[in-house]
Amino acid sequence: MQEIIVYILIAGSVFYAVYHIAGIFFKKQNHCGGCSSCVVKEKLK
Amino acid sequence: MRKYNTITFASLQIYLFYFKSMRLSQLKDGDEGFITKVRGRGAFRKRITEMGFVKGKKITVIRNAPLKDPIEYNIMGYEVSLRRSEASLIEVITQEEAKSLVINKFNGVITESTLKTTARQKSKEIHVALVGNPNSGKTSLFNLASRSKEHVGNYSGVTIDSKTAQAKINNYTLNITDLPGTYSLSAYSPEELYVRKYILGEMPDVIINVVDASNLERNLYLSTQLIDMDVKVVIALNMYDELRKKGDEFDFESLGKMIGIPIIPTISTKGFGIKDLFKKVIDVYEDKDPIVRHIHINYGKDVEQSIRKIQNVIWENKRITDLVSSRFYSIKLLEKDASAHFSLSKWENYETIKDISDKEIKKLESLIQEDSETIITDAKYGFIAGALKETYKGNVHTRRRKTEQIDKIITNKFLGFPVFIFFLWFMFQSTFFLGQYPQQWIEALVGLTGDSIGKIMTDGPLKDLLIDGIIGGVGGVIIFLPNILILFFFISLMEDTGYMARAAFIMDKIMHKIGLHGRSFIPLVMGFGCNVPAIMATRTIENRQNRILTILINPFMSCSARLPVYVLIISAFFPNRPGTVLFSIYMIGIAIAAMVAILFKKTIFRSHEIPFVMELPPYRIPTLRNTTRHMWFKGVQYLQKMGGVILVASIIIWALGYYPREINYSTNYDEQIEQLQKSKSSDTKQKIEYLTSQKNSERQAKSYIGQIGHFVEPMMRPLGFDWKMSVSLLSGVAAKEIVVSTMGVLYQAGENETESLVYKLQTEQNKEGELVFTPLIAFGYLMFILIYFPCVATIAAIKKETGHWKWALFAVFYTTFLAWFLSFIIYQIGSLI
Repeated sequence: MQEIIVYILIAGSVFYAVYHIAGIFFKKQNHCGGCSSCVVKEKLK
Repeated sequence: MRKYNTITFASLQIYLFYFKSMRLSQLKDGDEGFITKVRGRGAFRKRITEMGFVKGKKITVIRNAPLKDPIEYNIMGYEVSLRRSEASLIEVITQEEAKSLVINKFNGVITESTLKTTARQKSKEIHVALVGNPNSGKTSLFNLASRSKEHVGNYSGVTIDSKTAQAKINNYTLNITDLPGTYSLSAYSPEELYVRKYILGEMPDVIINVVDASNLERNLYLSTQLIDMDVKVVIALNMYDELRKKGDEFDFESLGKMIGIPIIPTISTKGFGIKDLFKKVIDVYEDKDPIVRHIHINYGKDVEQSIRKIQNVIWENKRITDLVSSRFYSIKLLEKDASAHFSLSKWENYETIKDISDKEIKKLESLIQEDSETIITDAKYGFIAGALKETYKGNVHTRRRKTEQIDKIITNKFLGFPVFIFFLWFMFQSTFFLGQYPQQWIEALVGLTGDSIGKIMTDGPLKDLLIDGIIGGVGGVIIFLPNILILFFFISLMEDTGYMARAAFIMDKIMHKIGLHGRSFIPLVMGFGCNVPAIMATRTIENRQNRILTILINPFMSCSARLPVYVLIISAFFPNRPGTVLFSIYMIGIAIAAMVAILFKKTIFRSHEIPFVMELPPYRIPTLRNTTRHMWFKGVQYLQKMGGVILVASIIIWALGYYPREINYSTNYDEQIEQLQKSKSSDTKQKIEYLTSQKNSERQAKSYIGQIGHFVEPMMRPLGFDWKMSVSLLSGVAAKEIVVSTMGVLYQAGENETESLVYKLQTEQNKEGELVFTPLIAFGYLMFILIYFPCVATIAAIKKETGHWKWALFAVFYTTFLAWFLSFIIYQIGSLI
């Protein structure tokens, strides 16, 4: 029984880790108000 | 475009009258026109100009949609549709209008060339508004410009007169409107309300902000409001002679560069500087002035958060932000400005906007214990004080005597830096010493929990996971919560009192030496908390190269996630002067950041910096509520991390160390232990303990994590690190606290769980019976932790903020290489001594 719980916990942890790391990279970026400050930054890019 | 200047129509005399120009939305199906001006602002203006809606372009109306919105146009050979409200922001000239304008030597046929030339001429008509404090010399400037030919126009709904006149310079016609004198653009007096409505409603092309040079601080307050409005401004530094007479020094050019507004000295009574002023207006209108840019006045972390929240709801209605800056409205709402509420009340999401702004006002007032309007006013004066401190040497009569007196010591040329260093030292000393007591209590609690579970549960993998994996891993990290809270108490104190801004000010000179502005220091100090928001905070740095440089050196600022590792290693190997060692690690981080910045500035980023204003907000006594809120927030965040990523990482690390269970041992430990148990000699117990330890060691070495560790160990061996240390570093890639949890799992597994991790690190031996950690190796390890790979979240933040993977990858490789190199030098040279 202990073995099964441990396997579930490990699988859950691996899933969470992958989900968490993917989430960090694919999270939506903050809004840009489109004020000229951002426009300047866009141009500088 | 140029050839039309040379054709006969160029010699036509064109009389431009001040009248309401035709808007694109007024054209009918099939009508043609030429664009003379694009009004509007922000994203709308950017998008529309990128689409080709620029001065002099021909545009044809294809059709109006059945409900008259949107309207389809043809421009530059392609078709676009605009909302009627958007089209109303574009001024055009039609054939009929051109006929009415061209009255001399007109041969009867309006060709496309005529129309285009007329459009170009019309686009040289600039609508200028004069704004300034009463008695700033605004009207005398107006009279001088108009040569007293002004006419007085009444504007509907108000009883205030505003005068309009024309001035001609370099083929441009400036239609100048003199607005009533105001100290501010708040809607308190009819004058203020009128001026604000005029700027927002009439959208002058350029605003001349007349500033009385003899009273800069008060006059610049109005300028800060114009900055918030995100409009094109030229400052006329009027009565410049009075400033010179006083013997004051004012570097107005630098101030202009800092605030992104050109400043022209004028003496309106004598006509001095007026021509230059108008030429500058033309440059600004034509977007030819290099220093013009929109800046954001920094109102402090809490206010900025509130502004952002209100902006988010205002942005939902793009039609508002096409006309007026969402930031301006957000600030005005926080100032409880009735006029802003009135203007926004016509939009459908007004109720949401109102709810959120009311909520934010309440939050700010309870946090800072000040009226929200005062908070914003203080921040504006802080901005002005910072700007003038850098550019003005004279008798600035500020209303902030106490702040000035404190500043005499805090930002003193000689005392400022030692005070700052002492404060940092005190902060780390307190983090260590005050933290050790609650740390011991939590440690005892963690140990007790492990013991209890050990007694209650039957042997098996779940019990091992709970004790070795979860309690060993998470418990190893959670004990550092008090240290984190203390560190955040001090950071919060620095921010709330206004000292953080001074710290940036003090560091400005040093930052300049490394090629950055003092403003870069704020994101760097924020990095002591967490590198991710710190990297996001670099958005205030407009120069892209300086911004990327600040981002790249930010990971050298030891974030709070690294604190548990430092405290653990320092407690174990530098117990005599822990606070000073901790302080020195942070200082080394800053020094490395400075050196790397100098190196990068000389190689990769060679651009010149853009000056910024360093805000000096007034000192405030921090409220207990705000400080505890910051600590609480950080505490919750830390515990959430424990329950999330640290827990998960501990389970994975444990599993990698626990499996596979079937191991081919080099010797039969069980048989040897059995024989020893039978022999009953005097040192049986010690021998059995030794064999058990050896067995555990071999099992761990042959586990999955052991295999990974041994794979990377050859790379880390020259630094003196064993495979467990190497694996801990590897796991720290996900989050730096995981270094501690991994050590907790690896060094504590299978042995006496009641001994502290510190003790186990101190006594850990390798196969040869030598200590794994010596103070030298521990110091090299601390350096490696300080410098190497920023965590995954930081890498993601770097990628997001720079917009490129290349900078994120660059940060990964250069920091890791630098960490390896420095640790190598430390270990190799240290071993020789």
